[in-house]
Amino acid sequence: MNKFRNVGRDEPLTTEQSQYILDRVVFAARRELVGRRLLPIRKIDPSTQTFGYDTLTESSDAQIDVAWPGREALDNIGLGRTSVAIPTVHKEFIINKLDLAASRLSGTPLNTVTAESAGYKVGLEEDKLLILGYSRDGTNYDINGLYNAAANSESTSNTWSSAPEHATTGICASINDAISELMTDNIFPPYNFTCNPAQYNQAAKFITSTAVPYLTWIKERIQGEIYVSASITAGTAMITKANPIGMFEYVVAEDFTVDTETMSAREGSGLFGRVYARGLPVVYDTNAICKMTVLGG
Amino acid sequence: MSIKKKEASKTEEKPIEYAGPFMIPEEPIVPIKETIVKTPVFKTKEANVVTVKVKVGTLHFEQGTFEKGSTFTVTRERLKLFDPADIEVLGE
Repeated sequence: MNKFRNVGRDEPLTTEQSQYILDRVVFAARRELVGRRLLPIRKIDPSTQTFGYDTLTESSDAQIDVAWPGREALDNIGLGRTSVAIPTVHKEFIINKLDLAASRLSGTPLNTVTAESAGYKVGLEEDKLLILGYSRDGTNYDINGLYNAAANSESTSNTWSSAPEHATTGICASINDAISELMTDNIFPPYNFTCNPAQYNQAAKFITSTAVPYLTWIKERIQGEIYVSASITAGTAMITKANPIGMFEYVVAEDFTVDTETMSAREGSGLFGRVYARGLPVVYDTNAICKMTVLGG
Repeated sequence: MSIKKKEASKTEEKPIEYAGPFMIPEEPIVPIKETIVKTPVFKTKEANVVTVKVKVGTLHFEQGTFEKGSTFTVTRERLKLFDPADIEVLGE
């Protein structure tokens, strides 16, 4: 699908210019895309407005019988169907008329700073959507991101800052506690660890009497990657399954797209553009995520 | 001057009247003096411990691991540290 569309009255840009704007927008957005590294992407039809999925309760344990099993009582599997509207993450920009004319007439590279800024902000917002979710009122989440969908919560009052070496509340202890919660649900390594920059810096210290920083220890312990994002609240972090096929994914109806239109003379004759992406984080198995809610004390 | 005269007339003693052959002296009206004893009311101190129900699948903290639906008690100070999405406060 063409990711750059001119929806206005006439074609204001050459194909090269369009491609250039799109490249710059995606490049700017990539700076912040931590969320997309945490979960696989499923592309669906661009016209989709809502996404529905089923969640099932686990059946009871299987059996081993020496004799051929006779009549068995079947499990009553609870089916829960959820339908969620796919949100649009968007930001608009304007390229000045003279910048556009200079590029068109004399071949000067198109000034795309406004488009890049819009792309960067859309990337940032998409990260928040994937990691935290979307909340209309700022408190209750209408769409749960990975953190808010987590079924495991490691809420020990940890001392990452004041006593990182503490046996029960230190950095190693809290990571171990979170991992044991995941393992209880049969979610095994590798894991990814996502934290706020504040916690990343707290973990960038040497373990007492060693030359090994906590970050190295964490990376070996989780066997996955450590990601830093300002989208996750300071004092919190999460450990997610690193290969989460069938556990959670990012359902994308339209990936980064740029719509443009030539503005009227009254509006300034510039080039109006809208950067947007339409996608929805879906968590099928909430046990595959453990959030850590009280870090940094 | 006239005002002074009126005040003077108020203070004049009335002549004692007799209701009958026996003299019944009028008892002076003495206002009842009420004594109110104030008993100190001690305000009950707010209980420092609250009962909490787990909303998230598994919650682990200093007291141990709790499954969804189970309850435990914590101090109000500790309560503030929990993610509000993880717990439901049931009461004292």
